[in-house]
Amino acid sequence: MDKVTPSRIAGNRLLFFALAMIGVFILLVPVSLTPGIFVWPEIMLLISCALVIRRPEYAPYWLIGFVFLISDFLLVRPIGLGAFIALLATEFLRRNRPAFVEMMFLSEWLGIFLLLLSAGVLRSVILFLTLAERIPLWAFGAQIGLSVVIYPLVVAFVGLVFKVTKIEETISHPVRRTV
Amino acid sequence: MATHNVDDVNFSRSLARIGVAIFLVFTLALFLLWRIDNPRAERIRTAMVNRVVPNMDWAMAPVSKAAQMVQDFQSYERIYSQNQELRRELQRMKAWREAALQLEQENARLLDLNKVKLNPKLSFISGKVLIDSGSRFRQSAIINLGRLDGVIEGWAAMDGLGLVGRIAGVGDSSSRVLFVTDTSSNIPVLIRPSNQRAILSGDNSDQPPLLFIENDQQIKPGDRIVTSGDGGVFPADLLVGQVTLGANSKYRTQLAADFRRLGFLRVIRYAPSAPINEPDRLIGPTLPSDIPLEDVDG
Repeated sequence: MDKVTPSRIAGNRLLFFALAMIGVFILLVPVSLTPGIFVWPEIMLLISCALVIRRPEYAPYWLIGFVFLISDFLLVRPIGLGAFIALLATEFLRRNRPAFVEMMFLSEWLGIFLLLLSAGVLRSVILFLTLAERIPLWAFGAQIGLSVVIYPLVVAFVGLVFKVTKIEETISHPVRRTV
Repeated sequence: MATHNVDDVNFSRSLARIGVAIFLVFTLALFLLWRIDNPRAERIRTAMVNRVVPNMDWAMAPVSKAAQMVQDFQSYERIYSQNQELRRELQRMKAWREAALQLEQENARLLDLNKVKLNPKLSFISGKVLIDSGSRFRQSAIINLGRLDGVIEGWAAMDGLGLVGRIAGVGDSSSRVLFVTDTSSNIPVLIRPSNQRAILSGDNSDQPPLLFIENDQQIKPGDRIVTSGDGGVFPADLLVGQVTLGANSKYRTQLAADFRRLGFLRVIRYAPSAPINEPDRLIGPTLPSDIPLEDVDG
């Protein structure tokens, strides 16, 4: 396989950042100002998850936190909450990476579904506890459903753009090394 | 990989762990700040938007133009039916024009009798919509007018015809317009001709409901809705829209502003007159308190 040089890591981190900014940019273009029933999937979170499973060096925690913090600010979301949830989710993946790498794609998919669901529930619970405004339930369901449905596409996209695949060699788990 | 020192790896790993923890605490603290001291957090957000958005304008303009062109192109498909509809509407409008002309003449006569000045305090500045809120559950937009243009929080924003929203968050050269369709928007309105007061409360739909109508027997679909000016938030008599009957016979508002084509907004300059607090000072400017009354009399 191709070697991971520091310059490649830096380039791909830059690419990750640029992708996130393009995503925010697209959401902000004032095309339609009418309230609609259209829900966006959480594409950036999906990209982060797929990348953390495949090649965690490309999406370090500080980059993920920074990117989601910017989106929180620009997209009129509760400030800091999106970054908090995204960090928790991706760090969970990073800790349990070996398991996810060994999984078949279907089980990974299921895992991502459960992760998104718990992240969404956690967000709702936090917003509920702080008496903040929550998105309606149907939108919550639709968002998670849509996100889960497009996850394979996101994985294909991530594989194509960052040129990463799921390889067991990339696991550098200390337990594994000592065995 | 094998050349890596295990201690080295462990060290960088625990460093990352601390970093993650710090980041998590930091974001949670930010969220709590947003929750507890919302105005301050929103000011931070406004400052940030103000820094970022005007710089993105060069990139924003072609993209939004292209998207609008696509939408316009789609509307060609419906051009025939639209044409028919327009003809029918024109027919009706002719009748209205006649009525309006008569009313205008009558109005001119009456105004002449009264020598009434129509609220000379109202003037407006026009601004361009830069970005929308980027979320389906927040109805707002950023316009390119800010503190430097004299915009003040709370002013009304209209398109050419009807009320769009109010200014909520002012940066130096940009400000946020919170639409009447947003869930946190509540506006006191007056329903003409029966003069019923109500609250226009946004709910993320394009026909916001009317709440707390005094007597909903007296209003019917088609009645005009204008701002009432209660609470000194908005000037009175800005057109909002028409009453329609929504599902389960709740009264809703057909907004007069066309949110589909919101390129430019008018921000209404408005300085409410000083409230009347004491019975002995109904008219006239507030006098400085350090002038003795005898001097004024003398």
